[in-house]
Amino acid sequence: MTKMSDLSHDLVEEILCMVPITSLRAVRSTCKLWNVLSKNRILCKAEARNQFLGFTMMNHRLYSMRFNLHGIGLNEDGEEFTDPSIKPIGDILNQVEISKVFYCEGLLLCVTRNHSSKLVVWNPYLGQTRWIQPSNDYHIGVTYALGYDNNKNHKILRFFAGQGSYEIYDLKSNSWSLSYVIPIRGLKIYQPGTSLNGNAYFLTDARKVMEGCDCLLGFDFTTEKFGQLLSLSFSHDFTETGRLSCVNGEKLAALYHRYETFETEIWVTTKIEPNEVSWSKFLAVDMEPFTSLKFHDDVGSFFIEEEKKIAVLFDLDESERYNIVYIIGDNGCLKEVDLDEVVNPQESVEVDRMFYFSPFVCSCSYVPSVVKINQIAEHERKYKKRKRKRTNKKRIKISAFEIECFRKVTTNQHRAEKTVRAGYDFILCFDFTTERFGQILPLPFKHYIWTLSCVKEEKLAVAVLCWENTYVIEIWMTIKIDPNAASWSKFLRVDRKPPIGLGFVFANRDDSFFIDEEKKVAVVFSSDEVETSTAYIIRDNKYLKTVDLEKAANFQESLYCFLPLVCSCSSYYVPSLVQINQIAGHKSKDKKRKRTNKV
Amino acid sequence: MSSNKIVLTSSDGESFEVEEVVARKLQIVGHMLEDDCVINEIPLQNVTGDILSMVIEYCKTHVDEEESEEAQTKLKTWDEEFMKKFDIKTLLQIILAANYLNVKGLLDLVSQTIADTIKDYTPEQIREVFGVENDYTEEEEAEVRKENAWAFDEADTPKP
Repeated sequence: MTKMSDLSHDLVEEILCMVPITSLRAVRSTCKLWNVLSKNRILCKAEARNQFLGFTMMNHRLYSMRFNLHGIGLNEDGEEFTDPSIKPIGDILNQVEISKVFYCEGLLLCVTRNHSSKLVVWNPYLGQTRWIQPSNDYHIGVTYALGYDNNKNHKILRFFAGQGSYEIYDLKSNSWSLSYVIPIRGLKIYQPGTSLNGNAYFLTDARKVMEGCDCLLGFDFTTEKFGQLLSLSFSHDFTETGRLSCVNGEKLAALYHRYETFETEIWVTTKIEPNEVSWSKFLAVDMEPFTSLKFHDDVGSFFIEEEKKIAVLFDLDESERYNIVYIIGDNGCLKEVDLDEVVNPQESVEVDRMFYFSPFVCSCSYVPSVVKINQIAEHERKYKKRKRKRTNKKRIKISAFEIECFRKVTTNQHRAEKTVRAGYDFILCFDFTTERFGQILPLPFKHYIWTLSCVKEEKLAVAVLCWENTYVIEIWMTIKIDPNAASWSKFLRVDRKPPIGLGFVFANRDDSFFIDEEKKVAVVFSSDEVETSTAYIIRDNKYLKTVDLEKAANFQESLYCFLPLVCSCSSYYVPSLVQINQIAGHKSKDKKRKRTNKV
Repeated sequence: MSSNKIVLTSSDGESFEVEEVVARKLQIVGHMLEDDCVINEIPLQNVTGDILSMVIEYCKTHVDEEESEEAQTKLKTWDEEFMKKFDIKTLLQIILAANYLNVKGLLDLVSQTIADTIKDYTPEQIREVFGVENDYTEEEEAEVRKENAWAFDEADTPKP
């Protein structure tokens, strides 16, 4: 029988492209291939009719919101109006609280609500998030805009209203640029700008510039500069509140609401360039019966549906506590919806005006984006790896010194380190002759490395915690080991849970052990439940004896986990004839100090 | 254009004699005719006779695509009725054939028909109907659900 799997990926993509976005979840849940294909390009492009998808923020959490415009306005389709649906986006943003959200063509920029104000860029369609650390901790009077330049490099504009300056973050180079001075005072920074063709547009406050008229100001993400002040050709005065929105990613819309007369006008651009703009009137409505509409220009927002000739306004009610939606057309207000009732009819969701924010984030319906915001991830990972390697080196050297003080000089010293690679641990060898690290030596088993030891200075032993059940300890020994190769055999295996009943629950990196090959016994130095340093003597599948080391050392007080065993070779300390000069002595002191600090 | 007859032969040896204008709707044939004008019998290796007959039926109907709204509506109605005749298995065979024979209109039509079917199904139904194997572990499936929690589907629609 002919199956979907007989079709080429291209054909499957063609088909999936025609599925409406409301089936995105079903498509992605079907199988891995479909999930992958859906991220190569935008699948499910077919728009569900009359549906607007946006995002909203309430109680510092992000929600996605769908707005149905069935049965409203022109082109009556006989369908009944349904309330908007709102739902939390899940813990994709690690449950952090958000203070501000900005939108640019399928990407959201969220500012976390704490004093460090970390930023996160989220691409819902690809399920990618990218955390960004701002260059400083300022958060009062700071606002942002997300945009992109001619090369489609996404950037973040960060304003400091107080200082009148701004800086730019480049997502590709992962860096903040120097600050620049904002040429014009009076930007309405309490309302987010509107993104159009990658650039951001803002309104300026009438009281501060150009003789009592608001103006439009564009920020060009390619030149990283503000444009000229552009006039709003239609008449308005400073008692009116203005707000911008974007129409289908092609035009800007501006809404002005007159307090005294309850007149609301919406204008749409007929032409918009960084230095030129022209407007035409879209709607003029008398909102007289709805005197509660204030359209606060800090928290109010709106979007328009050109074809149906309607606008959807989001505002606070008179108590300034509840989110109200007004759907308006040429004939006035067509519908009023209490958003809080929609979200949770039982519990009211109060608006925190402290953080001035408008409920509707996308100013036009959300259009998915396949922009990979994590493109530098590869670069970053490498950098992190490098960084980790550097620290490894340090640690390995220190551990090498520790052991050398007690043993004759061995050529090589091994130390295991966790890596991101496939999530498995491996062994890395530092060769003191060549002063280089060898190759990464994988382990033949999928376990976490707990700690390393040396067997009679001939072999390496490694204690590991089992992948599936970390109560199970295994000790493996090398059959062969040199800087670039290792082979292993299992020495013993013990389940720390009853009936063996080993007391130690912690498996600290500082724990240590040695083994006696002939007797097939291992002595593990760890801490017990009350963190008393203890030695456990174990054999394959058997626990033999526990020794309280602190009692043995006659300590009056518990020392809480000292590093119990330094000399990891079994049997006994092997004397050495190596002369240790002053430098070594100095280093040994150094090491001692370090150890004291640790304790 | 002459009303030349062309014979198309399917993989299972069935032959169809069609007008050249109809055969040209199959772009694969169109290209062959451009390369060498004297061909009048074309073997089509990747398509069986029963499927080829459907493709030809579509091409015959769409041979002169008139601009007028009336004609367009009529064609659209015909397309809808035509698609209703097939089950999923046949639709998949037709889309493979349309792709191989390069009949753009039919390819789009079948893709849309299949997409419309997917639209109404749950993942379980999609897998069953289209013979797609579920290769997710429970955890992976939960992860996908979590990642797409923002997206709305029909189940999210409140009842009016």
